[in-house]
Amino acid sequence: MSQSIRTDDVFSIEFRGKDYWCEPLRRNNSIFYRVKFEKSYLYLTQATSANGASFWTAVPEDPKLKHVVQELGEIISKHCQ
Amino acid sequence: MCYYNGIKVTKTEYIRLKELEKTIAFLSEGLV
Repeated sequence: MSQSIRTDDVFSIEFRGKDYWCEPLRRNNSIFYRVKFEKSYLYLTQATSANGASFWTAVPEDPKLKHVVQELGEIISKHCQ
Repeated sequence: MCYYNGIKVTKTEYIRLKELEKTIAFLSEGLV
């Protein structure tokens, strides 16, 4: 499978009192982010609901992470403004 | 209509997110 993934500059975010590396990634026209936690990565992206509202989601989807992802998404959004 | 993380999304958006999942699966395996 051929993929085209480009990486922009990694940046640091503060989440719940700790700093984490956040890496923007692109696949074609989709931008998603990889956040490095101690032992794993969390991938998240901004999506659009059927009624046009924007929301942050983990990829792959994980309902347990809903609030974490929402919080991280807001931090990333502020960084990217 | 489809759902992603419990939120209703269009089929196009659902496909886009599912394609992202494949990309991330490849990243996680170190194939990209």
